[in-house]
Amino acid sequence: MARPERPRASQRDPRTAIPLSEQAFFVLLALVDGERHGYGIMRDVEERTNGAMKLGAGTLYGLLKRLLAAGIVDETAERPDPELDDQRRRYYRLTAFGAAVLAAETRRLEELIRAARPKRARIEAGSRGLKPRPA
Amino acid sequence: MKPITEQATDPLLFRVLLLLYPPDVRREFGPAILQLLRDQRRDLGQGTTWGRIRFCWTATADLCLSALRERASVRRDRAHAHASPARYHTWAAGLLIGMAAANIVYDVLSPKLAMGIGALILTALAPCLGLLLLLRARRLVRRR
Repeated sequence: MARPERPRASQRDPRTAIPLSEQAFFVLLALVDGERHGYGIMRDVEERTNGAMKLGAGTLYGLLKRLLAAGIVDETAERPDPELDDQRRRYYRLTAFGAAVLAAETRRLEELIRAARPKRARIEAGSRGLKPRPA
Repeated sequence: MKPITEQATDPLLFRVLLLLYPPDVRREFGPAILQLLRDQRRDLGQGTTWGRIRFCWTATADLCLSALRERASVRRDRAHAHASPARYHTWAAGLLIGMAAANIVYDVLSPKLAMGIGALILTALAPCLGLLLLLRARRLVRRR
């Protein structure tokens, strides 16, 4: 009996890949504008978070390995001009499935914020140690 | 991206630390990790000594921690691959055959002259069920 084939990444429901870790979310955001190499991704994440998130080389490639395995990112075979760039650099891009995962995760985060927004004043008052006003 | 005019040599420390990674990961991502560290060092340039020490320290800590994470992930994947239904079938088969064997030994050694009908059925059925489970386990293993 033939074994059923594993669904391709493009056929999978992007909601199965969320929630993403904060680091994975920022790596995917870095790839939205186009393909980038590891150092480019690292710099983009650092700039986007104003230095709050610094990815180490090992952490970044561990993350990329998992994203590659999940079909969320893809390595590109094209290389820029060898005079302008090092051939040892590897470039990554977001796949169609990866873009769908990022969109689903963004929607999920927006829903969380929407749920928390009406209570924001009370949450902040509570975090400052003030007695929250009764509803 | 700035053109690359100089290539810093890979610090021996980072090459050694890469040995902590599982071989597959090292082969796949080792050169890319070294390239990234080289890029970071190049941008750091002739920074202060303290800056270079801090870079070495954070890179070392990151490489060690991520190597541990990768090793744990490989172990987890391997355990997951071995946790096949065949494994449980084999355990169940072994248990049943063992029970039957223990029953037979008890019956032979005990002074009772006649076995109860229940014990007789169990003794006969247990090895049959055990053998069936073993056959199924083998088929499952072959299909994988």
